[in-house]
Amino acid sequence: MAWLRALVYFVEEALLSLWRSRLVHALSVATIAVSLFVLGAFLTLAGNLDGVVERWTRQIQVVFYVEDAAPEEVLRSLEARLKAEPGVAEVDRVTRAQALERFRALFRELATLPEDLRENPFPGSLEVTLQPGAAAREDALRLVERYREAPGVEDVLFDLLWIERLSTAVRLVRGVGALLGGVLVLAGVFTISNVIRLTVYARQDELDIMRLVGATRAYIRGPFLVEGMLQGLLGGLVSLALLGLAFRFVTRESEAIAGLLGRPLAFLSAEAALVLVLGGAMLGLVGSLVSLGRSRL
Amino acid sequence: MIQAFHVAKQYDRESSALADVTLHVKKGEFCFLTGPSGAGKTTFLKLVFREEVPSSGQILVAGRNVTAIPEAQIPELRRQVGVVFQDFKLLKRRTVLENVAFVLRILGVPIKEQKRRAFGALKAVGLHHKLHAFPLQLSGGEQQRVAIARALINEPMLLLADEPTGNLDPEMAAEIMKLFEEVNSRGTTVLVATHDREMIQRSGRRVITLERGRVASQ
Repeated sequence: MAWLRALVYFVEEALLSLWRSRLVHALSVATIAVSLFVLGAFLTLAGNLDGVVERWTRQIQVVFYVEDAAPEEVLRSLEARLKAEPGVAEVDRVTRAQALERFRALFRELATLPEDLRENPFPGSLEVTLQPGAAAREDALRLVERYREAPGVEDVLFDLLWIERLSTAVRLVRGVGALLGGVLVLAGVFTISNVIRLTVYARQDELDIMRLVGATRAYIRGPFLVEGMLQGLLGGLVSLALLGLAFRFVTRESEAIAGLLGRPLAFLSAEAALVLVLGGAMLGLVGSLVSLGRSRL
Repeated sequence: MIQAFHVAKQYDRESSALADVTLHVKKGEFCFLTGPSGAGKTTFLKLVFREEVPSSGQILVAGRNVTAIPEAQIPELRRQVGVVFQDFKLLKRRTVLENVAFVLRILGVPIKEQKRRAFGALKAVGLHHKLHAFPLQLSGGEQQRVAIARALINEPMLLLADEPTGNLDPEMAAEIMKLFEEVNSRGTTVLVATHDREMIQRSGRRVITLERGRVASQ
């Protein structure tokens, strides 16, 4: 039970110290919170884009826009031939009216545009969904090649390239986030380590006395390690709260984005949130270890 | 209990605080370390509980060579040695009771027992009515008594006291000496550094005299 009493002592001392110089500690908590906020924001963004890329890659689609004047038999035979192709999971016929409907649902603000134009500007199409799997990309390219010039086909839209670009962008977002977050996290560690160093300096007499009456190194260092950890933990919690607020704000402002993505924006997963908060605590611990390493303790 | 062999301590090149000190204090003994200011009394005490390391020579405390013990074992040594510091070294932000109980706290003694024993130790030095005062609210003599209570609370095998009666009036000084005698009779070896000749003579105990860092008589 001695270790439990020691732990209680560490926490008591740490809380007391946090309270005694709460302004300085607020500063280091804020630094950690900001850096973890930036990191978390980038993680959320990358996570959402990732989801989109994953969803789109899982369902590779090739869209054949058909000529307005193409006769019904031509379209029917085209549809039948596409359905018979290997690797094709589904072929959807989208009429011009349906295309217009979709546009109106997706862009409510622009719903009157077709009336302004006095005609429906959207072509009909055949949407081919490929069976998921490693071969899907090849299948799609083959379809594009074979039916590009087929009778009744006006244009082909194959968005894989775009998806590939998007996934590059996601990697970039993640890289920038990691870099920026990393720099800020270092700043946070540095701040905590300096705050702890100030505390150690202010209490040097006390610590010397503790050593002289037989306190072990661990016993003297314990409260400072807990203090650093608590600062980091608080920083993590504050950053999570800020992220939550920011997320609510963004989602309320951008239902259209969610519509485009085809699903609501997702917040950090529970695991990621936990990692963020515990990561804060670890940063605090590292910060205090750094400063204790530099002092005589 | 204390065996010093040819111990020297130099803080700087020009002057030495101790030079070739060889002395023995037996287990269970009560003796005084005396000499004029600057003779090296405080330095010798610091070497015994390993606050300082000798420049040369060896010191054994309870058979252990304290000049060679690893850093990690120093706390263990200090827990067995009670020290009354000349400048008291009390924790300013803690109450009298907490200061005394602290020694037990770092040993992991349950809080109730910490309080009980700290109260007992403070009662022995006549300060049980000031448990919740802070050191800076006390007089010099009172602070000294808190320091003494702290040094005695864990019933150390060795008690080192550096001018423990320097701030006390004669009656209180006599009280404290009586207390040390009691502790000594329970088996604790006591070494008191002082230049209070009267006190030494009254006690009739063995006296080690240092002069300019050397043993002048013992």
